[in-house]
Amino acid sequence: MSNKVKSSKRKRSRRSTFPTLYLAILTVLTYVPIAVVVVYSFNESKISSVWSGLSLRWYKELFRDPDMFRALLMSVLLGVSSCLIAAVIATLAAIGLPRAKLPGRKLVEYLSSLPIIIPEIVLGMVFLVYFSLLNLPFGMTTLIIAHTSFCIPYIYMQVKARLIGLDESYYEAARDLGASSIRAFFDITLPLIMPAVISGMFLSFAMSFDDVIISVFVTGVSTDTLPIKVYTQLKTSTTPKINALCTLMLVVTVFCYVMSYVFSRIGRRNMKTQKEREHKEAIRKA
Amino acid sequence: MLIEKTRDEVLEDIILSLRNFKKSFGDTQVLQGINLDVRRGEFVTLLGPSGCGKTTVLRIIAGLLDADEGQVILEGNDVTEAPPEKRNVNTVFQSYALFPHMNVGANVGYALRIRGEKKAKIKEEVARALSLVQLEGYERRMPHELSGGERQRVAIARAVIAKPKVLLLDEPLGALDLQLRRQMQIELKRLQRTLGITFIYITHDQEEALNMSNRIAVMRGGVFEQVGTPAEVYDTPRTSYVARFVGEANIICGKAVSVSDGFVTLRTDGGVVTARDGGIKFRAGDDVTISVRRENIQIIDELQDAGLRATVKEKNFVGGLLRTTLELDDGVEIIAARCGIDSPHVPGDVVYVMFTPEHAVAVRELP
Repeated sequence: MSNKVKSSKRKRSRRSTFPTLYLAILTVLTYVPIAVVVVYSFNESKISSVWSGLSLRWYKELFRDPDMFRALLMSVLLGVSSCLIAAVIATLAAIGLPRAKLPGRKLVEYLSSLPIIIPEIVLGMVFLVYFSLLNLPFGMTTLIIAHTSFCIPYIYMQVKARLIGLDESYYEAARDLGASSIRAFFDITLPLIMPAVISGMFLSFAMSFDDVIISVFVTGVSTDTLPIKVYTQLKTSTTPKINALCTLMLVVTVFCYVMSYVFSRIGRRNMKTQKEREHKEAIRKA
Repeated sequence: MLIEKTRDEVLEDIILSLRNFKKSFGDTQVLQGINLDVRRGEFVTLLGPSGCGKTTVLRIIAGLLDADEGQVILEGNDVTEAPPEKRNVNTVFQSYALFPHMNVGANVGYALRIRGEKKAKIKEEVARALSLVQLEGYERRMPHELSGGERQRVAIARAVIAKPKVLLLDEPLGALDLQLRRQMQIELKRLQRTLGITFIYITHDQEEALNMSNRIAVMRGGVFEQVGTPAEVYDTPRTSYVARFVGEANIICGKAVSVSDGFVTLRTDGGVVTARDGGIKFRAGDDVTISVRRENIQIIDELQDAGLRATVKEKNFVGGLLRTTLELDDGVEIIAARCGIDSPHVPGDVVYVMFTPEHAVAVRELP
């Protein structure tokens, strides 16, 4: 008896030690450096390592820099257009693939998520070689193609997960009531999977917005994106402006992740309440 | 394509014919030859346990599933190949399938919106359909705000607004509690009479089927074992399965000893009894299986001209009826039910079981 109590006590203490330890490591390795950058972005001093007072000086300078502004525009344009294109392709794929009666359908589905696993540097190289072979001029077009290709899996997986949880009878009911398959798709299926599409789009925008490696390979002369700007500037000098820029990028990325989470919750919540109700009714019936 | 109507179809006003459906999923044959003629305005119930293929039949009629073989003929037109939206048939789904992102008004009016009706007309029709199911003023509610019974009514309103030729209902009352189910049975029946729409109704609840239908098709393993009026199915089951499934009849087996004018007399281990032959031609010595309803079994203390010896096993008072479980001499268990709360018999008593020949009928024993 006493043994049991002891062991359960030990178990409990181990259980609480491990997450604490994990959190500590995570904080030291990730969040402290991030916090330092964020804090120093508000540093008045020109030398990064010296704290001389709170100021928005570097943000002001950042916004006055036409180069930076241009890079920001590039990043947003690239992110928005590639995740819009990817959303269309990925949604069509997620809906179409399970219904397609082609041999090797499973393989195609599997290959769809491959770009996530392939090392980015390899992907960048591949795009570089491929676009040169095709004689495509490097610039916005090549950037959009490359970013679209790695955005697709994020949206595809979100939409696919949503479709699996979606009752087929909604679509069937629409057909039954007289809607053609296209009409039923736009009236019923698309609105129901929209939260997942948007969630995936936010996620892939975040991916596109902070991508350096692939972009470096396929960017043109005048199409440097923000991350490329950060990267090239770091090579020459680390001005506190970079801290401010990084903080802003951080805000955008975190915002995208939060939105992605929120939208994936919206989809799940609807389904959950429905399942819960059915469950409750089943209990009441029993 | 217009199919030439047979004389019977014209005479009986057949609205829907199913001709020799067959359907397999992989290696399992789910439907093996389904034939059914449904008259205009009829309430037909497909009754069977889960997995017998009744939902598959409904989905083929709706066009949501293709049959491997066979035809669906709706008002003389072969619609076998037609997509669901081109058939004048609507479905009330088991899960209701109310569009969760549309309010009740938009759900109910969906079929009319597809047709491109004017907004004012849709509004008017929606209000009428909702009042038909006693949900006046529910247009702006969302499906998730409704109770199970309300969602069910919305599903019905949505399915009848386009005035389908045939309404298909897939266990629509399955998710409701008993009290609500009884009430909805009455309402559905009333609705069917008001609208004059042909109903094809699926259930596994024999009571529901007997209560609501004009005709019942008892299904088992992908075939109809019997199609008939509730009275026919109840009083003259064709097979032992139908007898057991509808009203849990007692089944007694024996050997035919004599046959006379619609009746067969059989000998069992416990004695000799007579039953209607159910249209089966027996010869002396044949195996005979008969079905007797619980309420038609009488328990007597002394053997009269015909009866089976039995031992009282158990007595239960259920649903206002006294149920006596007895064991015949050959080990077969039978149940007798009668009004009242108690009888003089106690477990262990040796008694005789009897019934009038008109109340028993010979049934086929299918594998």
